[in-house]
Amino acid sequence: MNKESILRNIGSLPNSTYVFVVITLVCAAGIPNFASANNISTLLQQSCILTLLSVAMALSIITKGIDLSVGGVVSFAGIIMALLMSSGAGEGLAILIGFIAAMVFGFLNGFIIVKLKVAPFIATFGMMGIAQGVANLLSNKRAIYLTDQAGLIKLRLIPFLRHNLLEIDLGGGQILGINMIVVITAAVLVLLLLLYKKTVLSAYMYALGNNAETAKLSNINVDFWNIFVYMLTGLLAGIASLLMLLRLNSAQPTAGDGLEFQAVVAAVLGGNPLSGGKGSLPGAIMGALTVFVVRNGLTLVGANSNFIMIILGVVLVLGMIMNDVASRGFKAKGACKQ
Amino acid sequence: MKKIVSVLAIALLGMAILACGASASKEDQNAAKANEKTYKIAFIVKSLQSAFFLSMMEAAEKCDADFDEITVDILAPQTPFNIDEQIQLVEQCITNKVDAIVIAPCDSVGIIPAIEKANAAGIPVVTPNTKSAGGKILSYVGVENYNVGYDLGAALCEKLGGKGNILLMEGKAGNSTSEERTRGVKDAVKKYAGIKLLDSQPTDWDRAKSMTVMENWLQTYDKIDGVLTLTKDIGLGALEAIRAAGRGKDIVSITFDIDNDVIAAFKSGDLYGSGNQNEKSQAYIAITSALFALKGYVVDSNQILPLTVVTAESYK
Repeated sequence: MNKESILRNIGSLPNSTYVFVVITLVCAAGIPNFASANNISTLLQQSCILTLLSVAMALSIITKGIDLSVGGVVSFAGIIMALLMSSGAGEGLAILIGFIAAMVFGFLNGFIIVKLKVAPFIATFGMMGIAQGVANLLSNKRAIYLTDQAGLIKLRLIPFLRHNLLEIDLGGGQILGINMIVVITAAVLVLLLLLYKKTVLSAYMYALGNNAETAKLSNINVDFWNIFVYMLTGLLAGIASLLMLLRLNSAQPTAGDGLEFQAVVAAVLGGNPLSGGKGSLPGAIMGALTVFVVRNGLTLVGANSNFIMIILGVVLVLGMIMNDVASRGFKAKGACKQ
Repeated sequence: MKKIVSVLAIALLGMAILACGASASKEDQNAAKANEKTYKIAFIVKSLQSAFFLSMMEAAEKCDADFDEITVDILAPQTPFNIDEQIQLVEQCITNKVDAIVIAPCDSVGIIPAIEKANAAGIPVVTPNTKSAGGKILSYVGVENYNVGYDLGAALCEKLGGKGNILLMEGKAGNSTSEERTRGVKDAVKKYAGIKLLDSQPTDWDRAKSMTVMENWLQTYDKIDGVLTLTKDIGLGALEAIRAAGRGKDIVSITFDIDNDVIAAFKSGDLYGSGNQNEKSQAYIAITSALFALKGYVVDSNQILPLTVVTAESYK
């Protein structure tokens, strides 16, 4: 690889990568314990749920939509899975039905937006309330605890999915643990990125986001792909809900509360402008990781929680300015696609 | 060029974070000089947006100032009452090797995996205000939330002479404090055949939301004899709505927790009763319990504080 192509590769990274790298390096240099194996294991595990939701949000944003129902669906699908498991259905089946239920919500989102012509913000905001309400009704507003109740139900899959797949002892009490939650997230992201880059999906989505009319004229089945995208975000929310279930070892009716807005922040920070038509999935992953690095670093320093909120706000604004400046810079050099 | 500027801006922000870390560690060093043995205690509450937890945090700050041998780090989830964020905070406290964790869990069941992680790391955990349903807990400091609901419910029914229409404002759906208190209220009401619970609705522990709920109820029901609210924030919201509708004379209000606003409401005659759970004492006792345990003393595993129901009569 010559120097030029390395430079070109660096230039084509999503802009949020720079924000992420700079902040991570600063934290690693300045905060004791930050770069420790233990902390990196925790950090990776913590960021999984938001990473999936951030990518889901990016998908909907690129097609000029938004999916505010992801938080509600996380609560709802988790309750469905836990209820089925505690009623004796197999764990695999319960998880599958949970995913399907999440996709049904995604389908409804898409259907309402495409066929009934409701604005995505309103449609998915409504669905958020519906998903949360159904979760409350089904659970009777109580947490559902996954446990071997007096030997009645024997859980095998859930404990397996919660354990550390790999534990690398680095000596000095430092153990780098790779949890199954991280493995699942990585697998889902790789599959999704392959689907996105190697098929027509990305091209169709950009077409949808930029000009739906032109897309229609170029023989793209706009309605189908639009609904498909919302089903995909629904499925991702369903998977996030499984991860939440694993982390809490129980289903909380309010588990997904507020996650939709964190996902919007992460996706936007990752270079997915709300105006739609452009954006990047790897960027959304970087955005979510950045949010967690900042939060983790500041907590380790012992910063006041109010202060963390302020810093996250500042990071978002600075990140946005940087995205904007960088994309204008590239355009000037003729390197931008559009 | 502009790109360089923005990279610089990010770097600057990083410096700010660093400076923050540096000053924090300097503090630690000073403390270490003053006293050879310093314990770092993490104090985790449920929300930064609730007057109740701000009051607990005040007590934690007081504790930090009172004892030279401890530093108290106060933490809270950014989304109020979010259990996953609370678990994240506990995990980070473990990474940071704190000496003890004092936490009011957002959910008694959901917090268990985090408590188990702390147990595995050998860090003692004290829970003020809300219990954990599992894991090894050094001590619980607080009232029984079921009893809070039961006592308040009974006090309201007694005041109404055992008959009338009442309404209940819950906290946040799915939040164990709210659910336990609600269960207590409903059990108490069942004992009075003449009392009818017209409706019971969650308010997310939020004052503005409770006002809306009360306004709707005032529209819906012609005859309301009593309103029970599970904490003062929503109690005061409900009172605003009742005052605005001019129906204060007909409705007996009971809430929970006490501060200056509640005392003012007692004096003006708008509020009939409230319960006191001494949240400041909960925080202070929980932190000192952790300190005592770290110094090798035995601490009682269940420190139940007395629950007192106060009525307007005591302010006359």
